[in-house]
This record gives sequence, C-alpha cells and structure tokens, in this order.
Amino acid sequence: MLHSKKFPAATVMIFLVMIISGQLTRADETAGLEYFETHIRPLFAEHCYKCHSADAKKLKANLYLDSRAGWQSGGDSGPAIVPGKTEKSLLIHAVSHTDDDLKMPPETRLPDSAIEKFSTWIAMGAPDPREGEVKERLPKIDLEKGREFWSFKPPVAHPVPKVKDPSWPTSEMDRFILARLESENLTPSGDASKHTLLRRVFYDLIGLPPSPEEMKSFLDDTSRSAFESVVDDLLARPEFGERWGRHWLDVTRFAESSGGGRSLVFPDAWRFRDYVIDSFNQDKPYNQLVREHLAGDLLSHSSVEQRNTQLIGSGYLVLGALNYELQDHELLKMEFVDEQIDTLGRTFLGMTLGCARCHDHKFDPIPTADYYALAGIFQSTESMGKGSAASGVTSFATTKLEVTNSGEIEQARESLAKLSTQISTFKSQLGKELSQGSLNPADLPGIVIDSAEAKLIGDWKKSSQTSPWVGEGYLHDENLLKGKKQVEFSTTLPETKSYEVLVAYGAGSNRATNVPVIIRHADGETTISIDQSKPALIHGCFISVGTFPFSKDQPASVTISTQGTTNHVIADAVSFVAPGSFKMPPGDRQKIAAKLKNLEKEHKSLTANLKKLQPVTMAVSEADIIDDGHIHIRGQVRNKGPKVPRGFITVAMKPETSANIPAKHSGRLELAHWIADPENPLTARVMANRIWKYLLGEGIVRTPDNFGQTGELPSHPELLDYLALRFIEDGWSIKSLIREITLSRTYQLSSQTTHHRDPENRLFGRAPRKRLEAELIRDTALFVSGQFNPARGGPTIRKAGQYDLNYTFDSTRRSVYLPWFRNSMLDLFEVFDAPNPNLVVGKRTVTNLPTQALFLMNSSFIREQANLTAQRLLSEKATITGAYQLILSRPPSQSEEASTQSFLDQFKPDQEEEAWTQVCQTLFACIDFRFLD
Amino acid sequence: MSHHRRQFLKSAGCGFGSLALSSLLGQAAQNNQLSPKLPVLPGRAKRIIFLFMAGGPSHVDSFDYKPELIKSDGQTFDFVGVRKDTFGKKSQRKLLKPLWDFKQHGQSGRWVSSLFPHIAKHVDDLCFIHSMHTEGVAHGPSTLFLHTGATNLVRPSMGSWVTYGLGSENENLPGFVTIMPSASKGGPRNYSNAFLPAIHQGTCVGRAGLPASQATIRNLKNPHLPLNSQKEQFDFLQQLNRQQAQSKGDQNLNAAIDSFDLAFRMQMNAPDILDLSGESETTKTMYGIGEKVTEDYGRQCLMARRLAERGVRFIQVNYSDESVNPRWDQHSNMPKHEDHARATDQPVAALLQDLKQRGLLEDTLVWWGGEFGRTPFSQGKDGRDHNPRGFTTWLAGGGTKPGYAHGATDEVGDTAVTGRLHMHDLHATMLHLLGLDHERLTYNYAGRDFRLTDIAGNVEKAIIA
Repeated sequence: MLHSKKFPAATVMIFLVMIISGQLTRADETAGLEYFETHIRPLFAEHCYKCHSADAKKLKANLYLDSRAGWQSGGDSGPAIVPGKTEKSLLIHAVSHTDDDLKMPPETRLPDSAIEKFSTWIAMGAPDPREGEVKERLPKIDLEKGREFWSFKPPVAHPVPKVKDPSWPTSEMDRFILARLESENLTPSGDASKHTLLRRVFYDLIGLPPSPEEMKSFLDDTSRSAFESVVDDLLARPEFGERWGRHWLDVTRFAESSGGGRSLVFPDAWRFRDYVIDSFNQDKPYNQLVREHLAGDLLSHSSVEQRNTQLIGSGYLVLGALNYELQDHELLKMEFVDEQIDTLGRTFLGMTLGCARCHDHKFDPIPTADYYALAGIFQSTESMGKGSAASGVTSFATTKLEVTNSGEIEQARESLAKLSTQISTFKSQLGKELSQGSLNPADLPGIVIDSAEAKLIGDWKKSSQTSPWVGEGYLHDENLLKGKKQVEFSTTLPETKSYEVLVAYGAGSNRATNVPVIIRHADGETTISIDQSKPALIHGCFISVGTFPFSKDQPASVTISTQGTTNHVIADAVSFVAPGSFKMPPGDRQKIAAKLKNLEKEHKSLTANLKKLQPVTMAVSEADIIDDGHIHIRGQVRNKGPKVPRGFITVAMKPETSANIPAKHSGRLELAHWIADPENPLTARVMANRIWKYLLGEGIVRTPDNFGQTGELPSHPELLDYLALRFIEDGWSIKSLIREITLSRTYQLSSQTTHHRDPENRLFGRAPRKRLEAELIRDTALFVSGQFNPARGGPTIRKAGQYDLNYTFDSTRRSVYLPWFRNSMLDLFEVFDAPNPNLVVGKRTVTNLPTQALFLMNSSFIREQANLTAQRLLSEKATITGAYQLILSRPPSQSEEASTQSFLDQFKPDQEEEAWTQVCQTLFACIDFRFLD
Repeated sequence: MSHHRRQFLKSAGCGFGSLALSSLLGQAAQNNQLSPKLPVLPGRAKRIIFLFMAGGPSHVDSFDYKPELIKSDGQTFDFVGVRKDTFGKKSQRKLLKPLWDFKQHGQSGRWVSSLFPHIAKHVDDLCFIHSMHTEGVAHGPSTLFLHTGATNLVRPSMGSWVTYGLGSENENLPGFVTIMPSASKGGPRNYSNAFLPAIHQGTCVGRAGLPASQATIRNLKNPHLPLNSQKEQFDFLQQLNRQQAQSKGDQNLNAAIDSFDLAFRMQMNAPDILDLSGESETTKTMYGIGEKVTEDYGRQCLMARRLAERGVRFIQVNYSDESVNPRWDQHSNMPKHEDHARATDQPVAALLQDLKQRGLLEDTLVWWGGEFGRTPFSQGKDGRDHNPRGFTTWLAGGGTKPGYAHGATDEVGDTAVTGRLHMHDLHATMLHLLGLDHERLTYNYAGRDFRLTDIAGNVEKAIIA
C-alpha cells in the first residue's frame, strides 16, 4: 500500500482534479506520454523486460510488461495496473516489497524515486503508447474436446448384443460378456461347484463363511431358485451392511484419528461408521447417500432421527487425514479444503482433482479455475473447530445431535450448575479454586475491583496467559521502567468498618518477589511487600495482605507499585472482604475436604451422563462468511489471483449450464444435487464399477478411483453404461445391482481356466481368484473358533485419549468395529494389506509377503484361534471332514484327507488337542483358505 | 540389468512377479539370464550398508571444513531462501561458526571435527562428497527423495530397486532389510517396493523408538512349538498347498507357496543372524555395545555386518526416532549434535574396521548421510536450518576412491559449487558401483518405464577407484 506522502503532493492534486473532472485534455495526454517515455519505459526495460516481455528467455507468471495490452490483461495474478488507482495496482504492490510473497524485482528493491515514478504514472491514468497484442499464452484447456472423453459423455442405453450361443446367458449382462468373449474366439469357463459358489457368495455379501449347516441345506436344495434364495437371505442379513459398509469406509478414507504429527483421536467417528453400515443395510439410495455426505446438514428432514442421520453423514467431509498441528492457519484451512476436494473427486467422480490445485490439470480437462470454484464452496464451509491455543493444535468441527429428551438434559444441566456452585464455594473455603480462565467479579465474595477499573500509571500490558484471572485479564509491567509504573485500585466502601484486603495476581516463576502494595485506609497508609512468584491460593489468584479499618466517607485504595522490583509485576484485582472469611479451624477443613471429594465425584458422573444425553457428531456447517475463492497461483496460499465464482467441474457439466449457487449458500447443497443427479456422467458409472469390482475381482475400469485420462479405459464400456443406467433406474439401489450381478451366469463361473489367452481375465471369462482381505481372515478365525463377539455398533475405542499412539487392540468384535487409526493399526491388518486410511482406496493392494506367512505360522493370534477351534471340534467327535468343512467350507480331497490323517498319526493319543490345533492352524494358513475361488 | 532381461521379463506377462521372486530365492542360478550374480556392468560392490542419519546432520560442523566460516562468525550476509515462503528470496542471515574444532587426519589429511573422533581415524578409507544437493526442504519430502528419488509420488525405495536388479545372495534371507526404521517422515514408504513386485519390499527389523536389543522381525519365532514340530507342521502345510495349487496353474498361488518357503528359511536363519550373543566381548566392546550411549546403534551396526556377511543386498541402519524433529534436526541447540555424534561415531567406526578386517569392505559399499545438511548461518540463537543446497555424504569401500574428497561448497558451506552431485547422481553412481545401469534398470508400470533416477542422474566417475 502506497501512502500519498510518497510522491509529490502537488502532482497528485493536479491529476486527481483531472481524473475527477473527466477526460484528460490533449495537452495532458501529451504530457502523460512524455512522462511515460522519460521515466517509465526505461524502468520497464531495465528492471522488468528480462522476465516479462516477448524477449524474455522464460516468461514469468504469464505477465507481459512490454505492451499496454500486456499489463491490461495481466498475468497469473490478474491485471498488473489499474489506471488511476495506485493502491489497487499489483505492480505497485510488488515493487514496494511489502509482501514477502510478491516482491518485484525479486532480488533488489527499486529505489524509492523509481517507485514514486510508477505511482505518479499510474495516478495519471497510466498513459502507455505501446501497441502490440499479448502473445498466445499456454494452451488453454479445450473443454469441448475434453467432453469427448468417454467418461464425460453421458451413459447411453446400448442395444443388448446378440450372441452365438443364446443358451449360455442367464441375464442381459451375461450377453455383454459373452459377446465380447465370442468376438475374441474364447469360451467362458464352466460353472463353479456348489461348495465354491456358496463360499464365494457368503464372503462377497456378508464377509463370513457359511456354516456347515448352511452348506448342507444349500447342497440339499436342488430347486432352481436355491441360489437366488441364498442371495436374498444374505442381502437381508445385518452382516451385509458390515461387509459392504467396510468397502465404503475404504472409499471414504474412514479413520478414527487424524494422522499427522500428533494424531488426534476422533471420539465420535464411530457414528459415521455405524451410519454407513446402517445405510447399506437399509439399502439407502446411493444418490441420497451422496447428498448426505456432502450436505447432510442442509437437507430437509421430517423427523429428528432423519436430521441426525443426515448430519452424521456429512461427517464424511470432516474425517480426512490432516495435520492439525500446522501453525499456519490460512494454509491449514486450504489443506483441509484440498483434502475434501481431492477425496470427493475420487470417491464420487473418479477424478483426481488435486492436480488442479497448482496448475491446470496436465491430463484431464480440469482447469485450475474449476478447482477454485469448488474450493470456494468448501472455504464457505465450516469444517474445523477451535482446538487449543496453548498446544497450537486445532480441532475438527462437531455439531450437537438433536435429542428428544430436552427436559432431561435441562434437569441434568441445572443439577450440574448447582453442584458446580457448591464445589466452588467449598473450594474457596479451602483456599483452592478450580477455576480456569476468567473469574467473574460478580461471583466472587466481597467488593471486587478489577484491573479494568483501575487507574494506571505508565504502560501496562494486558495479558491472560496465566489462569485464572479476575474479569478482563490482568496487567503486567513487562519488567520495564521500574518505579515509573503503578496501578491504583480505589473505591468507596459501603460501611465504616474493618475489611480484609485481598490482592490478585497470576503467580509465576518470573514474577517479582518484592512487590510493594500500598493500602490507604482510615488510619493512614500501610505498605506491604508481596512475593508474586508464590502461588496465590484464595480462588486460585488472591492472597490476603491484612485487615485494615476503612471509612465510608474516605476512598479506600490499594496501589501495586513496581518500585525496587527486579522481575515481572502483575496487577489483576483487589477485593475487600469481611475479615477472616478465608480462615477456618483445621477440623472443619477435613470435613469440607471429604464433602468436596464426594461432590466432585458426583460432578464427574453427572458430566459424563450429560455428555451421553447430549451427543455430538463430526459434521460440517455453513461458514459465517460465504464467498467465492481466489485462485491461488501455483497453489500458494498467499499468492492470490482473481476470484472465481463457486461452481463445479465444467467438463462434467452439460454445456451452457451453470452451477447457480445462491449468494447465501456455500454451494454444498447444489454440489450434492449436481453429483447425485442422474445426468451426471460419472456418478452412477463410478459406483456401478465399484460394485462390479467387489464381486468380480476387477472393475470394468480397473482403476476404480480414476476415470480420467491417466486411469484405464473400460474393458466393456457398453456393459458399464448398462449397469449405470440400471442402477439409476432401480432408484440407485445398491442391493438390487448386487443381486442382479450375483445372479448372472458370469458371477457364478468357476475360477478354473483351460487356456491362457486372457491371463489377466480382462474379459471376465472366468471367476476371479480373490484374496481374503485382512478383516476376513481375522473374522473367520474368530468365527470358527467361537470367540467372535457379534455385538453391533457403538463406540469401540477403549479409553479414548487425545492422540492415537500406542493403542492396544484387544477386542474380539468384528473387524469393522475395531478402532481404525491412522498412526497405529492392528498388526494383522498391517500385514495383510488393510487399506491406508489416508487415501481413498477403491482397490486394495494385494501382496504375497513372507511376513504374512510368518504371521500365519507363528503369531499367537492364529495359534490361539486354532487351539479354540480344535477344542470346539473335539467337543464332539473330531473328524478331518468336519475340520475342512468348518474352515474351508468344503470336504477334503482324497489326497488332503490322506495327508492330514498321516499328519495326525504322528501324535501320541494324549496329544489329541495339540494335533488338532496344528491341523486347524495349517488350514488357516493354507492357500485355499486365503484365496477365494 | 540387460536389455535382454527386460525384454524377457516383459514378454513373460503376468508371470513377472514369480520370476522376480524366483530370482530372489536364488533358484534362478539355473538360468544365466536371471542369475543374481551377473550384473550388466562389472560391479565393484555386491551390497550396500546405508547408515541413515535422520534429520540432517550439519556438514559445516563435522566434515566440511570452512575456515572462512570461522573467520566470519557473527557477520551478516544475504542468503537466498529455500523454504516455502522465502523461496528464491534473499534475506540477511548471521553466520555461525562450527561449534567443534577441526583437525586434519590420516595420510590423506582429511578434515574432521572433534564431533567424530572415531570416524576420523578411518578417513583414509572414506570417500567424501562435499558437493551434495537434493530436492525438498522439509524432512518428509527430502527423506522420501533420498530413499525413492521422488519427494511426493509413491516410488520404490532404492533397496527395492537393488534387489529387483540383483536378486539376493542368500536364499534364506530377504534381500532388503531396514533396521529400526521410523514410522514418520514417509515411514513405510521409505522402504516400500511401491509398484515393484512385493517381494522387494524392505523387511523391518524392530522399529525406531524400541531398544535395539529387542529388534527382530515380527513373528519370526514360533513361541509355541519346538523346532522339529514346527518343521513337521510346515511340511504338512506345504504338502496341502501344493495339492491345492496343483490343478490350478496360477502363478499367484505359487508365489504364495514360495513366500512360505522364504518365511520358513528366514525363521531358521534370521534369528541367529540377529542374535548377537555369539559375538566376542571384544567385538561388542568395539561397537560400544554395553555402553548406554552407543548400545542401540552399536547393536544395529553389528547386525548390519552380520547381514552383510550373509549376503543381504541392501541393509539400512537407521539412526532415527518418531518425533516431529528427527534426531539430527537441531533448529535450536546445535550442541545437541554431540549427543547424536556420540551415539553413532564409535559404532560406525567399528563397523568400518570390522568390515575391513574381514575383507568385506572390498565389495560392501558403506553410505553415510542424511536427507540434507544444515545452513552455515544460525537459526534463532544457536540452531541451524535445513540445507538441501549443499551438504556432505561419505561413502566407503565397494569400489569408491579411498581417502578422497570430491567437490566443494562455497567458502562458508552454503551451496555446492564445484563437482556438484545431485541425489539422483549419487543414486546413479551407487547403482553403477553395484554393476547396474540406472538408465536401464527400469520397470514398466501404468504404461511407463520407471527408474530410480527418473529422467535424471549422471554417474560420477571421479569418485570411483
């Protein structure tokens, strides 16, 4: 910002008059151009052209200063000069070197005289004779061309292909698969055996194996609808939501702590987990799920329950991995916004939007402006809470859930308030005050005079570092100008009698030990020295300086002096109380202390109870300030370019449509509706592809979180469109789509192949050989051993501390209910490729590492489950077939039976439990357990 | 890695993983093209021991002697910023002279400060690179760059590239071991195989923050069964596995079976290797084991020698912790460098001596260094900031020039000016010493051939003996 005193006042006056009075005269114009030629052109040429002209070796910031048009249209940061407005001209801002992020020329500041010349010239209206057009900048993203990419074109209903073998397909989707196989001269593999199929569909739909009884009843059911009834049964079980909810938790990068340097625990994140599980169990339409995730706080509702559910759903936006420790709050806020944009892009749209934060997307037609159009939406959203100023750690946003028991809460609150008053009375009687922060003078006994009402001599600094204090903070002398500063508290007391005088200060080790306190009373003046390094016990901040006679006709005053002190002096408040109020016989102290202890106990349990009555959830809300965001040039938070209107991803919008976000809306609601719209080309495709992937091992697009240029192309684009449209037609029902896919012949094929023509199974000519994921290994082991705790939902973090370090996992509940932290994970999960909760994971890593083998062979967990399973088998008559059926859901082959028998035969008769333990452990480790055919 | 090999591997399609696996398992000795002992270039080194000094030790206080810095102590100069908000901008900074005295050592007369009295005795075996520079300014990005050649994107660690290129010399042990790695500053990504076959992932021995005496591979021992019973159970398991895999002809299943073999061999061999009780008291004393300050890093270094002896390709010995400011990260209180020097100096010197007396230094490349150095100017009262523009790393053995010093920073130690060696160049040179051509050691992933050195890196011949 340039001050007018920096350039000659007379010049300014002249030009101001000219500008205000209208156009410059011809003579002025000539004078202006002369001024340009004499002073400005040389400055540009010498200091700016090197980087900002057509001759520049490398043009910086897309800014040309060698023509009028150059500074008019400006570079990355917008127009460089606003004629007549020096204070609005970026050029002046840059050359004055007042902003660390924008200093030009970067190396050395121009002399003041040169800056004044620029200012004068701009004030003149920046006359500039230099013609010439701005050269073409970097090629702009061509949205029309971008819309040609397959995933941005709306899905269309393709005719179901004709096939040579019409007897094979049992569904329309089978026809898409078979037609493609036939075109490659391939035939699908045979159908899976009933054993294989039942195990497959159990794990795929509910994540647990069929029991031997369930297997038997399926084998016995020879009706044509046998499989269909199994599918319908499984889709209706509560375990379905636990299994598919976990998939969704991968995609929503769910975790119960923040990760980062200090990984904050999210004590209420479990509500989101339970909400996801419930949503899948209720078969909530997917478009509704999307809307709740992005704008659950803004959706209309017809009941308290619905409002709460929707609110919990919006926790999606708050659950991200973030380093809440970042001290730079502007940056932290932008990092939060970036996490939200990047995550929602991958989750719902299969787009990597994060790339457009710093520059136009290199591969996809997403300009930076689109990114900041979305950023404006999330900058206008409140996602962060207050946190602690002391530790510098911020927090995440929470909202109170609505409750139907407001009467009960009110009652609890009242009793809590009563209890607090009692406690504080007892505490002050005992000379210890629990208070933190500010003590309200009105709540304190006696006549209190706060520092705010005191008369100050010299400069005193206001502070509130040391808690507690009275009223509005306290004063300290900054340990400067000793003897020149004092604080006088004075008042007129209501009665002529003796009062005990209390003086308040926040004690600390750097405080003066010899602070003179001068009391002016009815009998004259007394000076007492106090030691402010010692704690003040009355209410946590007062000490008594003695009892003195006062008269109601004379002012009573207490002065804190700094005379002769060698360390910091504090002046907070003074209080006049009835003498002896804070002394009591020692016997009473004990009694009161005991009472106090009881009251505190009661207070604690009542507080916990109230917390339960008044639950909160992680949720976003509209920010106080709703505004469009600036483009951040090259992603730098402080390098602000022009503002862009809040909006969505242009390339995925219908041409000639706009976001239409009302001025008072952040735009989240509109964004949610846009993503959930059947016309959005990506939303249904991305989700249908995910569902296909979970059932058939690979997606039709094998990069489920990336439908952009860097992702893979669909192997069966028409089938994907078919699935997406079916999904929308069926009211975005996830269960219906799962049902349709599982009932297809394609799903029910054997994983065996007779040829090697399609090694990656891109054509889905056979069933995939999937891996049991980490959770499935653990849940199955617990399930067959009988240790499985089937409890559902609720908070599961034992003793949630502030951070997630060194947590001990000791639960036997289903894996989805285990605490899911970013900085510490159950070792089994780590070893068996559980997803990294910092990222959207639509496709988990699959590895074959020796550490997995070591876990299966040597860990106490597997050994213990094997032992319990053995005991279970031995409780009846243990048979080899029984063990295989229990663990592998199939009888042993002849050779397996023989091997197992001869292994068992090595053990002595009294080693039966050990023998069976080892058999069970071996079955947990074998490849037919770990792979799902 | 030869062109032929790459072609061959590419054409093998989905079977790639198991080919790489078998090469690691040493079974490839039957196939010359895959022999782990035949690098494409005549390699001087067979393995690397990387002594990782997390946090960025100060070169101007240790190995980079700058008389001008001592002379100009307290004077103010313009330095160009590298931090995010000061990037490319000059600001006035006050020089801070080294806190420790420098002396010349050995026949080569290399300068070492009193921070490292033990390492100083070995200068005639060391090859100093005083002109290192790297990417990133914060620990996370620079640490990832040091390990993977990328500050941000997920890329394989150097150890993974080395085992991918050379296989393992010991079929009973993993090819890439990292001893007590930290979970922070990139954590597992620093020893991750990324998109290379999973078998090339670094195997952790212990983790930062726990005593080295407890450092082992997780679940390496079976606490439930005597060895002979374990063997019987293991044979039974593999018998079942083979029966189950037999008809399926799936490479993935074979890979799983192979991973059991490797796991069991590790179980049989690794505990002995990590168990230091068989070492003589003299050796333990030499490494500083039993002394409080050197106990941990001494044990780690001795484990490294034992792993090197048994043919592990890439052994990383981490001097790191789990804190926000890693160990050598003295933004304030530079005197604290002395604690870290005391903890590592004697163990490192002992490792050098031990490798030498066993003839292992010939073909073992020892690499000492951090993710960056520190500034010659002060930060606050008595700290130094990160310096990726110029710092010192030293190498020893494995075909490097002994008693040699390469390149230089400017007169105060701020920026590498002569013989500049980028981290990519160091990676390229070390791969060269192992007989690998960094431009040909590639892996095709997502439609592109990836390299450790991306599209950069030059082999620095000057430091090769």
